[in-house]
Parts: sequence; C-alpha cells; structure tokens
Amino acid sequence: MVSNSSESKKLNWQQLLRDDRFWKIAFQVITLALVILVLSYFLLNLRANLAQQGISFGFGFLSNQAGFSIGESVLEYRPNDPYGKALLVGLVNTITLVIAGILLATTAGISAGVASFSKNWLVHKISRAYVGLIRNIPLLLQLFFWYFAVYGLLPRPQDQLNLGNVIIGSNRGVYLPWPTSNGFLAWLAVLAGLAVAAFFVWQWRLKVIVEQGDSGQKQLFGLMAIGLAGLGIFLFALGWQPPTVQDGGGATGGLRLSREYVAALTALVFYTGAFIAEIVRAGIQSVSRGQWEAARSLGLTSGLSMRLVVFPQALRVIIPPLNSEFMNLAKNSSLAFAVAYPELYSIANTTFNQTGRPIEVFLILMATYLIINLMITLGMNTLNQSVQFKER
Amino acid sequence: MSTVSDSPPQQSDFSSLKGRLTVAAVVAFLLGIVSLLEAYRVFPLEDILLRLPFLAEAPDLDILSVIRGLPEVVEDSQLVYYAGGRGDGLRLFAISNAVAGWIRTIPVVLFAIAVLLAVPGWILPGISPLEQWREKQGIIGTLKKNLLGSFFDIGFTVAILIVSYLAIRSALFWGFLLAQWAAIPNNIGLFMTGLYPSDEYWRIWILSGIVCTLAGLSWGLLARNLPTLFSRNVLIGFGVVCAGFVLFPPTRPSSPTLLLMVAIVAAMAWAGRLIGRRQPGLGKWITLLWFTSYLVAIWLIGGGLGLVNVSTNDWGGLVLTLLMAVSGIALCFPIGVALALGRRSSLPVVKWLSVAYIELIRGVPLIAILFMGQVMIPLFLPEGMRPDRVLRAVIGLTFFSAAYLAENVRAGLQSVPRGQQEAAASLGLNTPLSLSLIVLPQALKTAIPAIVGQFISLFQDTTLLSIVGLAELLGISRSILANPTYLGRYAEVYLFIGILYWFFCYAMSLGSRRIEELLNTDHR
Repeated sequence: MVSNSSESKKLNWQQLLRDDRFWKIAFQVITLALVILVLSYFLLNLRANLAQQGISFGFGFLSNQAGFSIGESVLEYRPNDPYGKALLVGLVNTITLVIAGILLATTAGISAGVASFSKNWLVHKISRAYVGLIRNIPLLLQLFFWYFAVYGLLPRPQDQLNLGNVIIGSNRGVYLPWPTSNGFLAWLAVLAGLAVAAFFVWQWRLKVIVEQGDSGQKQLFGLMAIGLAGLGIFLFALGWQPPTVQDGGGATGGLRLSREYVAALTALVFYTGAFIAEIVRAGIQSVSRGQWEAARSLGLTSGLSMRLVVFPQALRVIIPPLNSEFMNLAKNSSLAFAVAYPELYSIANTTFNQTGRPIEVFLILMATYLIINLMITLGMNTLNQSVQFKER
Repeated sequence: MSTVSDSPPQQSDFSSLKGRLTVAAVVAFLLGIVSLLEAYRVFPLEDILLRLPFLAEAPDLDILSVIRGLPEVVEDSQLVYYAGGRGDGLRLFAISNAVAGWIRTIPVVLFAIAVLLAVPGWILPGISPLEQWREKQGIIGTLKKNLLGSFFDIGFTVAILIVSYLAIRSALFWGFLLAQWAAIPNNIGLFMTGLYPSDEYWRIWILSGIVCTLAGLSWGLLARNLPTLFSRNVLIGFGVVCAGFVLFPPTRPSSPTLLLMVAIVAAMAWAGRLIGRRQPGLGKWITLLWFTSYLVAIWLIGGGLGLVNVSTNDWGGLVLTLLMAVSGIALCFPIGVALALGRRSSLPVVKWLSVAYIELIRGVPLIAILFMGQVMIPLFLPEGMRPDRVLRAVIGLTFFSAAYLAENVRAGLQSVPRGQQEAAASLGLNTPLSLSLIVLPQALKTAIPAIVGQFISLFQDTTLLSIVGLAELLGISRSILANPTYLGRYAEVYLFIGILYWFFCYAMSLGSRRIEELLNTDHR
C-alpha cells in the first residue's frame, strides 16, 4: 500500500514533468517571478539612491517657477511661468513641427514614389537617387548639414535676402507673409465650406457623366466659379501681411520661422519623404498588372489610370506602414533639440537639468509621445477604414 | 501625371549592362559638348574671384591679369597684402589656375570615352551599344519614348536637365574652388579612431585584418556554389576601391596597408570557397569565429591582458561607431527574437509582458532613452556602481532596437504557415525544438530585409550618441568643427562623413540582397 502510493506519486511527478500544461504554467510563473525580482531590485536601488539625494518622487515640481526662457513659442510664455507651462510650450512647438512635417513629407514622398514609375528616364532616376541617397544617411547628420552648411550660408540680418518684400531670409530665420485679418477664422470657415461645396459639385458632375452620359459642362462651370471665389477670398480677404524690413536687419510682421525650425523641418521632410516614397512604390507595385491593363483598355490615359484605378488600390497597402512612418517622424522631431529648437524633448531636458528629476520627466515624456502616437494612429485608422475594400 | 508609364511597374529600359553603357556614352557625349562650351566661355572664374572679399577691396588690381599671369603676380607684394598676408589667397589662385586647365581637359576625356563606347569592339568585344540600340528602336525613337514622350515630358526633361546642369556646375565650382578640404586629410586619424593614442594604432590595424579575414572567408563560404567568385562586377568593385585608396588624399599615406586589407579579403574569399567546397560542414564554425573576433576586438581596442589600457574616453571616430553598431546588433538580435516569440506566445503572462515592453519602448524617441539612460541607469543600480558611459550607451541602443527588431521578426513569424508548427508537433518535437528548428529558420529568412533595415537604422542611430557626449564619427566631426582652424567648414566635413555613412548603409543593404539571393531556395 505504502509502496504503491509512493510509486504512483513518483509516476505523477514524471507525468507532471512530461506534461506540456505544467511547463506552460511553470514557465510563466518563473518569468513573472524573475521580472518582478529584477524590477523590485531596481526600484529598491532607485529608492535608496533618491533618498540619498534627498529627492522624493512626485510631480509637484511642475508648478514651480521654471526660470528659463524659450527662444520661440506659439503660446505666450515668460520665464517666471511654471515648468508645466514650459513643457506645454515645448509640446505645442513639437506639434507644429510634426504637423507641418507630416503634410510636407507626405507630399514629397508620394511625388517621389509616383515619380519612380515615370516613363521619363530622368524623373525615374532622380527619384531613385533621392531615395537611395537620403535613406542611407543618418537623420541627425542631415539635420546638421541643413542647419550649419545650408541655412548657415544665408547672409547676416544686416544684408538679408529680400525676395520682393514677400520672403525675407537671413541666417536668423525666414519671414513669410501671414494672414492677419480680424475675420481670419471666419474666412477660413468660408473657404472650408467652399471646398465641401466643390467636392459635392464634383461628385455630381461625375454622376451626371457616368449615369446620364452628359458632358457635365454646367457643373464644370460651377466648379470654376467656386474655385475663383475661393482664390479671391484666399488672396484678398485673409489680409496677408508681408513682412516689413527693419533698419539694421531683421523684419517685423508676417510669419517668422526660425532657422532652427526651418532646418529641422527640411531635414525631417527630406528624410521621411524618402521612406514614404519607398512605401508608395511598394504599394503601387503591389497592384496587379491587370488593373493597369484594364484601365488602359478602357481608354483612360496613363495619368487617369494611376489616379482613379491604381493609386486608390495601392492606398490599402500604403496606409499601415505610412502610419508607423508618421510615428517615426513624430519621434524623430525630438532631434530638433540638437539644433536648439525648443521642442518638447529640449524643454524636458532643461527641466530635468534644473530639477534633477529624471524619472518624473521621463514618465512625462513617455506619456506625451505615447499620446501623440496614439493620435496619429487614430487618425490613420480612420483613414484606413475609408480606403479598405467595401465588399457587398 | 502624364509622366506615369502606361504599363505596370517595370524595370527601366536601362537595366542591362549594355543599356547602361549606352546611356553612359550618350551622357558623356552630351557632357562633353556642354563642357566644351563651358570651358571657353561661361565658367566665370573672374567673376568668382572678384567676389572674394580681399580682392573686392583691391580696386587697382586687374583680375584677368592676375589669373593669366600667375607666376608674376605671386611675386607682387601688393597681392599678398590684399590677401591679408596669409597663404590662403595665393593658394586659391594656384588652385583656380590648375582647375581652369583641368576643366579644359574634361571635354577631351569625355569625348574620348564616348567614342570608345560607341565604336564596336573597342571596349567590349563585339558589342556596340549604340548599334544595338539603333537596331532595336532607333535612337530617336528610344529618346522620344524615354525622354520626350509628351508635352509635359519635354517640359520635365528640359527643366530637369537645366536644373541638374546648374547644380552640377555650382557643385563642381564649390568643390574645386571654394571648399577647403584640408580639414579631412589633416584629421583623418581623428575621423577614424578619435583620440585613440597613435602608438596603439597597430591594434586597430590588426583588428581590421581580422575582420577582413573573416569577411573574406564568409563571403567565400556563402558563394561556394556560384560559378565565378570574382565576377566582372566584383572585379570592378575591387578596382574602384583600390584606386580610391591610392588616389584619395586622406587614405594615401596608409594606402599600402589598405591595399593589403583588400588583398586579404580577396585571398580569404578564394580560400573560403575552396574550403567550403571540400568541407561543407566547416561553414558553421565561421559564426563562432565571428563571435570570438568580437571579444578579441574589445580586447584589442580596450587593452588589458598584456596590452596597454586605453580608456573609453579615448575611443572614438569610425571605430567607435562600428563597435557600437556591432554591439547593438549582436545584443539586440537575441532579445528581439525572444520578444517576438513572447508576443506570439499563447502564454498570457509572457505575451503581455512582451507587448508592454515593445509598445512602451516604441513610443519614446531614442534620444530620450539614450539621454535618460545615461542618467537613470546609475540610479537603478546599487550605489557606487556606475557602468562606463560607452556601456550605458550600448544598453540604451540595444533596448531600443530590440523592440523594433521584435516587430520585424514577428512579421516573419506570421508569414510561417500554421501547418509548419503542427507538422513539427506531430513529428514529436516539443515547443522549443519546433520553434528553433522549424519555425524560426523560416521566419528569419523571410524577415531578412526588414531585419537588415533595422540594423541599418541602428547604425544610423549611433549618431545620436554624439549628443550624449560620445566621440563617435559625428561627435568627433563636431569637435573638429569646433576647432578654430576649421571654423565654418561644415559642408566639407559633413559631406565626408555623410559619404562614409552612406557607404556602410548601402553596403549593408547590398549584402542583405545578396544573402537573400543565396538563401533563396524557394523558386528553383
């Protein structure tokens, strides 16, 4: 009896050791234990180290006076504002860089990607050379190149470049015309309304052409009228204010883009644009050959078959990797710190240097970039849903 | 939009060697004509010289006579006075004169090349690219099809030709007249090894010898089944590299050693092929050799065990960049694969831990991780324990890249059909065995392009270490630029290191394509 029970116990152990389920659970328990062990070891060390430095964990420092000045900001900011405000200013600066970067990089990338299919040998080769060159050189190096070697060549403010009082540039920055009309936002809303109207008229025109075999000329005139109205509002109602030259260099009025911002934007756009071009190229290549041939045999010109048949299908393949490319752009915007553009990371770094709180600052940074990336993903997912196959 | 081709994505008409040669001939011919016109008429040497500040202040100086009569003018004390007493101005005159002469030879050379390529059997036996071209479509037809297809195409072509012509012209002008390249040959030691003591350079040379040996052996082993090892393209590549080492001023002083390195690669490739054919089993040992060589590299660079110690503060330049990249790649690979397997695992704890790690790391910019890593790693360790800053940088780089690599490997894992694992299980393999013998090899093979892409971006990411204060290639360049002697020579220095980075990244992607081809067993 006794021997029997011990034998079955032994057998159980052997069975247990051979049992896949046991190992699955055991492996998880061991992993969890190890992770907890390592983490608690690190955290205990952290507590001891912080206690020794006399710092206690907490985000109270955010309401302390920052005391440093920020070179440029969209928001109003003074050095006696709290750290929280300074970080917010940095965040807004980052967002202006990221949004402009995404728009321009997408434009550049799609142009280069489509250009790589050009029948024109020169256009094709230039597109390939751009991608092959830019993708293989580190972004930071490109940033330094633009900042020091290109924009650094611009003249001093005393003898700044002046393109017909519209664009004024020196090595301190670029001044561009900027709308200043009081009803700026209202006019912008009108413009948006016109765009929506134009979209519907366009749809109407397509419908008329396709379903009734009409020439759609009436609608075309409507579109032209809307376009003219929009152009008129854009040119005259927004109150574009060109920069005015100051004596002894510099300018006032208009929009001032600092050299740091322009350099960071250029580098980001060129770099990300090359990656987007590759994504677009792969996407277009993924559309089957038959689609091209079918479009061409229907009598569409090559440009139209690209625009109406191939590109919409390619978008399905393009958008998911595009999302991660935009996220990369958002994260890479932190490199602007290296040319002293006061974006989020740069402010966070100053905050950490002044307060000596690496953990808190890092957590804030992590959370903020996570939120930015989530926003991008959210937007791209919405876009993605709109281009997916709509099957009956 | 009219530039978009009618047919679906396709190779350019110029993908073949013949096609390329033809294009080269035409381009050379056109360039020849253009530079013939340029050299005698437009190239405004005088104009540029007038713009130099010290000459603009010299009203009574006849620039034309200065250029045409250099020897006499050099004697002219007035000019030395205007040049601020420095040698720069005079040197510039000498160079501009030399360049003016050189430019005048360009058309002749280009014309000669064009003729050589156009006449059948002169360069390539029996092939006349131009003839073949004409037979196929007629020159005008091809030109028209490729460059002048439609109204827009003509516009594009003309615009691009004009812009690139102007760009090339001003680039040549800048490169030969205005740029001061002295910053590069004078600091070549700094660029390559940073502040590494020059008495110990031999250690770096031995290291490069070892790397060359292993690279050659691996190449030979991998290419053992190819009919020819030294194909025409490879030979051309060797020729270009050797010529570069001999002609390029910064590398000229050490060109014998560099040529020896090239010879080692070639010899070892040959030997590796021989060994690979006789004893195919030996291929596995090469991986082990690479691992050993990594440890040897650390020992050679850092010293100890009989060698003089070199502090990590003195590590720098290209050597540090490569060391960081290799360390990052070697360390992040196993972590990345483990994370990818973890994320695909059916075990919830393992899965969610992997997901949390990957997503958190991927959410933060690398610069934040590196900078904070420098500060925070000591905080997480017991008091007084402070890893070396190179080590801290490697840790940051590795943890960052591992998260991205995990995603690439995951994509590879997803591409392996479920049936593979089921088949492995039904053969009686347990999970670790079926993963390591069946699933991972297939997954990694699919993921090679993405993985190499990640390695390339890791290599590029090492530049961020310059912000953290390491003197890697970009960091040492910034210190060189901070030297008053080379003040404002940004374009020259950044172009130089840009070419270096480009070379390594391009080599990696080329290598990945080759490995893909060699491993491609699917479509036989």
